[in-house]
Amino acid sequence: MISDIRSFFQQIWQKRRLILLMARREVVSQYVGSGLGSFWMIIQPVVMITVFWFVFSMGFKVKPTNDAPFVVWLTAGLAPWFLFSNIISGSASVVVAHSHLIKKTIFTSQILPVIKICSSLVAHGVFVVILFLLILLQSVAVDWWYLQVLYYLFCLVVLALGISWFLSAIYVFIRDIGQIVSVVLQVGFWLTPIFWDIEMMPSKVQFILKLNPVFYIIQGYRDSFLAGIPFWHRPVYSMYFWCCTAVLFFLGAFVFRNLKPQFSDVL
Amino acid sequence: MTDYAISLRDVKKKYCLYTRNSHRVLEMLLPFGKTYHTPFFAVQGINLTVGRGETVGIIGRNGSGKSTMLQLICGILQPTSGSVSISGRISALLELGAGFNPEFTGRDNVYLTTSIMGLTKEETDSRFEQIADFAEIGDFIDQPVKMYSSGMFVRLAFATAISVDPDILIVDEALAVGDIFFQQKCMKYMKQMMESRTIVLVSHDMHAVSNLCDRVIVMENGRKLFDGETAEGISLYTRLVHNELFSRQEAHPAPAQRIPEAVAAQIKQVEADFGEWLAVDNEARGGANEVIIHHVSVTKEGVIFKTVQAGETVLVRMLVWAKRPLQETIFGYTVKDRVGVALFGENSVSLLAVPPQLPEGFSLVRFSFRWPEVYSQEYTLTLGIGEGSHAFDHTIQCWAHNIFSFAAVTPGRFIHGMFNNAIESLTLTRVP
Repeated sequence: MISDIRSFFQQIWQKRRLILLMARREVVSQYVGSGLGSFWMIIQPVVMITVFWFVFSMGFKVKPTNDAPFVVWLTAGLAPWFLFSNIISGSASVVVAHSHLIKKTIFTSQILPVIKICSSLVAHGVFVVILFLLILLQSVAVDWWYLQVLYYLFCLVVLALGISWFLSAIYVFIRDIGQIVSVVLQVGFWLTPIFWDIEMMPSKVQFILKLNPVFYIIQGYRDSFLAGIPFWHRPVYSMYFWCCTAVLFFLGAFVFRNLKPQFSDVL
Repeated sequence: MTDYAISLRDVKKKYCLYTRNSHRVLEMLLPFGKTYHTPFFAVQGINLTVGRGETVGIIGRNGSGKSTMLQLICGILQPTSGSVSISGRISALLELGAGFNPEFTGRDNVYLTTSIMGLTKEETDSRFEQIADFAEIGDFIDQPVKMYSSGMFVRLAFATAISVDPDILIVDEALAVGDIFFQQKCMKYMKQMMESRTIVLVSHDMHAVSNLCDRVIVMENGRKLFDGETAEGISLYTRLVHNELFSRQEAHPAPAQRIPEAVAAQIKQVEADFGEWLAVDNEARGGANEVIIHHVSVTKEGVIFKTVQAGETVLVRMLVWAKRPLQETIFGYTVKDRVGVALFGENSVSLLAVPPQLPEGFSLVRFSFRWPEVYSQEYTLTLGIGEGSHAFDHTIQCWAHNIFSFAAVTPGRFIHGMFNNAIESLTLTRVP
């Protein structure tokens, strides 16, 4: 049992070259054949942030939150959410999408969600760079605390990987998962304090909202980029997040490993 | 190192047929819950050991479990019970170009495929020239695969798949790719490769199987029906296929092996050498069996022979029993070589303008043919009776497979290929 689980993870490490190769291919395949190519990766977020800036700062004249301009504050929260929802919505169907490999070649299918994560990280990287430029533009002071984002990114990857394994394995058998995931992500976007400040809520409601592990990451991005609060200043919340994530991670790996032998029977 | 390459111990593969897919998940996640499925065994209780360097063909009718068995060997499918052990690097050629993405160039696809199969970038680098050469696609290697003709696609896929240089190669119907020249090249490559590798292949092409395999396994309904010598396996399979064509019709019980006394007495009056007749057993027969070839006699100059030379006349006599009269009957023969390749044959359609009627009960049929100049080896004779009047389009009533074997000898002659075809004229003129 233990050695089974270990070989499940070992196989991922052995296939690291393949993961990178396939992730690169996935990124390229999004833009292959288009005239501007990978330039679109920059255009999309820039346009989106410009629209937000126009609507909220120019139009609604939303007041700065946490001493930072609203657009910066918003973008800092949006960046991890986009990455998260990108991974989750993409990886649910990832096993089914690669059924030809699973059925016709000798293939380590647990790397598929990992590939999805790696390829999503590229767009996220672009987004973070734009956020960074935005911060410079708004002349918010540059700080070493920014590097703490890497810790929160790691949190996000581990959380998303567990959920991805779980969903992609179940999706093979129950195709409704695809619809469920897109609905849940939609609701999740508004239930997670991304567009609005959690301080607006009464403290009881705040407690419930904080049970959502994704909020830990969103808050963390804002802490790193705007407030400069280290994660060990939130010890209880960090503990809670890691317990929650560890359970999801191993549950996801367990479910994937147990359902994997039957993939090729159903696909 | 073990002394085998592949070993299957009592392998079973059960497919659970569910009415709803969610039942499957419920059953898997709640192991002690209620069962929802109806079981279907695609492979039941296979024991198989393939030694190093062996080339084994798996043949059988559609749905007999061949491909499932290959997937079990590769580890793509997990056996429901029993064990599969493999020793050595295994590569599967189940579907050519399975990992190819049409938007990417041939080069990209080669690198991705080899990397899925476990090669490092450096290993692929060193083989790349070889792959591109083998595939013969020239400058197209840097074009997106969607621009390829289907022939180019499979050639590149085949070249990539074989470049991995595995210890064990598993091939499913992948040999018939490209034009005749490329097929010959693949065949040549396979033969070269066979010398040091273990190969398991599934094919419906009996010519390829007889050419490549040292050993054949015949599958039927998920079971191993036969495991042994190639020619024998192929002839068993051929009989299975023939029988399948008639399995829809009712089974016709063959009459007793012994010829009734009255019939025997009558035949003795016409044919003096009756004692030399061979009984055809049910095993060797195939077809609808409303008419059966009961006994046969194959002689040369009045005696049974072991060897035959070009130009000699072979006399075939068949004692035929018919359940009902046939309006139009065709008789024919095929001569097959050691590996089961049919080398030549003929039927009576071209000889007789009006196909003869066959009465109910016993009849005696005689025909003869001249032995052609073919290469020396063992041959077997297969006889057939059909109902109809067309050379291709008739019902096969009875095949008597490989009922007689003998050797062709060609003293003082060289056979250029399978048979000699005389040169009709030759002139030599000096061009000043």
